[in-house]
Amino acid sequence: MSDKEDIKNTDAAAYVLKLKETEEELRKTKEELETYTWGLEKTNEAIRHLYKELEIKNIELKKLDHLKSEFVSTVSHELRTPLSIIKEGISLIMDEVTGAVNERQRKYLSISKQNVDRLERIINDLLNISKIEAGKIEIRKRSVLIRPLVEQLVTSFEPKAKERGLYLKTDIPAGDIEICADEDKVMQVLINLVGNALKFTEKGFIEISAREKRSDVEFSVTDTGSGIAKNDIPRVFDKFRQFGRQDGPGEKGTGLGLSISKGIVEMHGGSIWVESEPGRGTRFTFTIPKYCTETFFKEHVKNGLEEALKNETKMSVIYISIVDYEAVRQKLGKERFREVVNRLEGILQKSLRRAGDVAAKDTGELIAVVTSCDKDNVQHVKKRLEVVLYDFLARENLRDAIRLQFGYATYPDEARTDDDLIKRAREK
Amino acid sequence: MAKILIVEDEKDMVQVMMERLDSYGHDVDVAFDALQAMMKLSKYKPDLVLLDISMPAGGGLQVLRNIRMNIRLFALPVIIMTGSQDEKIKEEAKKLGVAAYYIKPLDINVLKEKIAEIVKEKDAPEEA
Repeated sequence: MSDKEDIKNTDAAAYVLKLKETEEELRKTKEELETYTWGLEKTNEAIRHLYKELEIKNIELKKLDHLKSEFVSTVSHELRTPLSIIKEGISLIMDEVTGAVNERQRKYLSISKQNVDRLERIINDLLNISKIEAGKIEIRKRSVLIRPLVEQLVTSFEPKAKERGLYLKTDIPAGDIEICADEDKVMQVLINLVGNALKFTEKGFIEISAREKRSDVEFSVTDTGSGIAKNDIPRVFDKFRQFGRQDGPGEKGTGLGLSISKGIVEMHGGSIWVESEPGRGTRFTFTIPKYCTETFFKEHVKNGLEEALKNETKMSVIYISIVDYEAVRQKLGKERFREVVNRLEGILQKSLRRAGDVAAKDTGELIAVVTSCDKDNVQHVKKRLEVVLYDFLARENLRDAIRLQFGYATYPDEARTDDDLIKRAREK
Repeated sequence: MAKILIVEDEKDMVQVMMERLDSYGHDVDVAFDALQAMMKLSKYKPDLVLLDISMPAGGGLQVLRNIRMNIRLFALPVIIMTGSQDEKIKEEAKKLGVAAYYIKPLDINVLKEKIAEIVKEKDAPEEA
């Protein structure tokens, strides 16, 4: 063959070789692709399967939650009914509706009545504690001033303390200190602690004090009573714990008070503990986070989001603020300003009833988390709330002093996270 | 003094309540379930209804609804008694309109005063 043809042949051969190599690569790539695709399909299948499992678990959880509520309310009814019948039966006889009653009869009727009352307290506490543990207790947190709270406490216990010859004193720092709490529930804790202190103190004093810390307020109830033995201290908050301390006069306790107090304090994000020296006295201390911060609104919205997710509904957040709140606060004075904000919150909640959850900050910002509310509904709700709120302001002659600004956002259409919802509602 | 209809399924509860209300001079009638309650209400109109809305057989709340929707009975004062603290039911009852909402055990003095209040209003001269 000629040289030229030789070269052509070599080129051709190289070319064919290259082609064959490329073909081989392509084939390999195709195989890899097929393997990947197969892998992806398997993953997809697994995801679908997990989804189904999740749905089933969700249904089970909903059922369990429903059972918990039913249990608490059924038990409540089953216990309260015979209790009321017994109570009224004894009352009827004692009140001599069924005829005259002699001293001996009266004595035993009296004992029976006292114990029925004791049973009632136990049942109430038990139901309380089972609601707390089932997560079925609602706490409504808002900015609460501690001074009026403690003053109210002292006023109610002063007579009893006097009766026992005990000195009731307080040590609260001056100024407006606030906690982010459910006022009634915190009061319940304070009443429990002071009540206990009174019961177990023969002489001396009971002191209610508060200390402002960096991010919470520390409350203490100190007494000069018989104290608690070192061994008993770890079990002080257990249910049905009643100690060998001699009971003072008055009602017999249920043994659940401290357990309930612990539950309440922890629901607020605080902690509770005790220090004691037998013969010297006891101090119970608990902490409650200070004023409601940025996260306060977020918590409420988050709860609303969880509900919406659980029930697969939409929800909306309506944000209301007092324009120029600092100037308004200056003008009205702190007390009046706070009172107005509280009233606004109350009116909002009343207006929404069960359909919404309202929270307020003392910067005159209010937020309403409205369940099962979509983009169209929220406009109606907003209009309605506007009317109600301005009505209130007019009645209080504050229509000129206070201007309100309204904004709203809907999940999932306009935002999908708590932060985004708040942000959007604020901006509108 | 007043004609009272008690709607309550617990016979013992009815027994003690009747004894008590009798002693106050009231005329007391009883219905042991929702159906009986509605039958009685179709025959006469009491001055007050004491309604248990936690009856296990149910129907308590429906009695309240029926009363409020009835042209003849809609303004009838109803005092609710319940053994449970269900917020939802409480909300609905209050929305329908109740003279009082008590959780058992009832405070007999509170009930006595409330009944006296209702009787006074009933006997008050009609506003022109």
